[in-house]
Amino acid sequence: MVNPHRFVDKKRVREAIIRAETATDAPISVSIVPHIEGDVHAAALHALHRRGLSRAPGRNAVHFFVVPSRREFAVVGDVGAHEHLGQAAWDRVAATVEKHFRAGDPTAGLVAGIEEVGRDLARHFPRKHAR
Amino acid sequence: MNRGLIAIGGLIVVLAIVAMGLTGTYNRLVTLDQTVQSQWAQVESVYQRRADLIPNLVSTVKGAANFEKSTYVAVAEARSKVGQLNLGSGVPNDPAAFAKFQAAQDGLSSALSRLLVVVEKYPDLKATQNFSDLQAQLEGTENRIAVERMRFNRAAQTFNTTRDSFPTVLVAGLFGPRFNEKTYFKSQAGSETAPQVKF
Amino acid sequence: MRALGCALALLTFIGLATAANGAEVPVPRSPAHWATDNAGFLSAQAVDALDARLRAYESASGHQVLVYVTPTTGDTPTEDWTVRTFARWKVGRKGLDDGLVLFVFPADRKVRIEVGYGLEQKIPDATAARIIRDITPKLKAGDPDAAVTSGVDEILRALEGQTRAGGSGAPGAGSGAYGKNDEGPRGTMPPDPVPAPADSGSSRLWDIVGVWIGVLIGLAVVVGIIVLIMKLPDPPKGAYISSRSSGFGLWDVLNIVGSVAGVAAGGFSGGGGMSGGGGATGSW
Repeated sequence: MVNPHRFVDKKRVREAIIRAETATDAPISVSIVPHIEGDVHAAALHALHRRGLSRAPGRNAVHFFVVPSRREFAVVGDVGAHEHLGQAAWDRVAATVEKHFRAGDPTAGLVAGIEEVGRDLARHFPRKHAR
Repeated sequence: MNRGLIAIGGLIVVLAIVAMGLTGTYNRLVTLDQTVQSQWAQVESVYQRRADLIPNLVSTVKGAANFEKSTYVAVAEARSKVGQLNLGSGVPNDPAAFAKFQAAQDGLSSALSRLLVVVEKYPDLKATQNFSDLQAQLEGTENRIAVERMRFNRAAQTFNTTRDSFPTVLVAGLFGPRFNEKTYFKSQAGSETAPQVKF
Repeated sequence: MRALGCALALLTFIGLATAANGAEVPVPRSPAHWATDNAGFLSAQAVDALDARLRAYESASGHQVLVYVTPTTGDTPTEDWTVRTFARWKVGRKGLDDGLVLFVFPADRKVRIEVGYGLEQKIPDATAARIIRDITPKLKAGDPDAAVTSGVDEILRALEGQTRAGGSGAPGAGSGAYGKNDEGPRGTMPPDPVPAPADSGSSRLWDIVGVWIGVLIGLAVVVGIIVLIMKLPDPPKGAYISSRSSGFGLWDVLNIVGSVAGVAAGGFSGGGGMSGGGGATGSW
């Protein structure tokens, strides 16, 4: 079974998140789980709540949920993010991620997806206070 | 053959349980012993604090009050006896050393209280800032001694209770003098608490 | 064997009962405020002002300073009562022991400053005694509000390191901000432990054997656990990556901080400090 901690370069992914969050208030995070049964999208939403991300003041959290064993992933946004970004944005981000995943570089996929969604979030939820 | 194997297995299990019990007992005694030791260090430290006050006290009294030399000489002598004491963590395990420690410290206590009774006759000395500061430090130190002695007795009592309960008592002796029964501080004959310094 | 065990247990029990040196008189529970007056000795305004001030002082400096007025300590000597009360309340932070309580007992006409271990350098006994000497005339004159308030003033000033000049506290050249420390140095004791007295050979042997038995068993247990873990299949555990390095979300952290702050804002609660009987007592 794939070791979720080795699946991507966690350091690079974390750096991408930190870079993206310098421009936006919205929290971005990534879960990689070795295997789940059932609907990945539903599991991703569940993870977003369970991680406490839905407590962000603007309800604007974005969560990438990856299941390597099923070669599936989901990008989910909380209600605030969805209201402003819309379905088109998710489809675009998912396509970017998918392209790199298919090319066999999941780290690059997540980094690119984080950068892309970070730009969208920065437009709608710009950072108000310096970190 | 099969039965022999079971017997050996059973023996190993029993031995393992006994050894584990021994380890647990040992560790418990070590923890309690360390509490006693650190409390003993506190006791020694407050007594040392009192001893450190004495040169200053003697010179202050000597300078201001020209009374019988014997009183402050007695204090200095008692102080030097305290200075010669054998100290260290072994004392609570050794009733003879402990008795010597307490006798020397109690000797200093009574020499001090005699000195302070004599000082009563010198209101000018009592009124000086230097003396009243010394007096406050001495009072505070006597109080600290009472507190740390009380806490030491409590720690020693906890240790002894565990050490002497069954079945620990059967094995405590195996570990050497470190786990001897601890000695307590006893109140001085005729006084319920540590000598009170009255001013 | 059973009978022997019972007999030993009984003996132990008797030993225990004789070892206990009488029950101690109970001391009060931890107060809910920084300033408490159970004796109606101070005016309500003075208590409120002191409480607000000491509460602010704790959040600014971390030191827990309390004022506690109660009629009497009963038959218990003042110092005994206050040191046990201090220990029960755990005034001051754990490990730092930076608490202090100004006790006033109007029916006993006694006042005491009980100083935690960690503040003995800043408020040595001589300083505590001077503060008490400064406030007893006001108590005698029947002005308790002024007495206690000025006592707290002086205590806080001393904690800030502004000791009064004079007496044996003349600052030495190059000494710290607190002036010359007029207490015997704490912590110079104990000296190096003297070597343990000669043991009988067999008990020393057992001392070592006992330890080694423990070590071997510990090793065996650890190896067993490792083997078990290696045999078990890898439990599926996911990776979680966010801008926080821990698996904790930012909002979890904020929430926890918020709830802790909420509790702490409710009232005084002891932080785990201890005193060793430092301070001074006075009467009026």
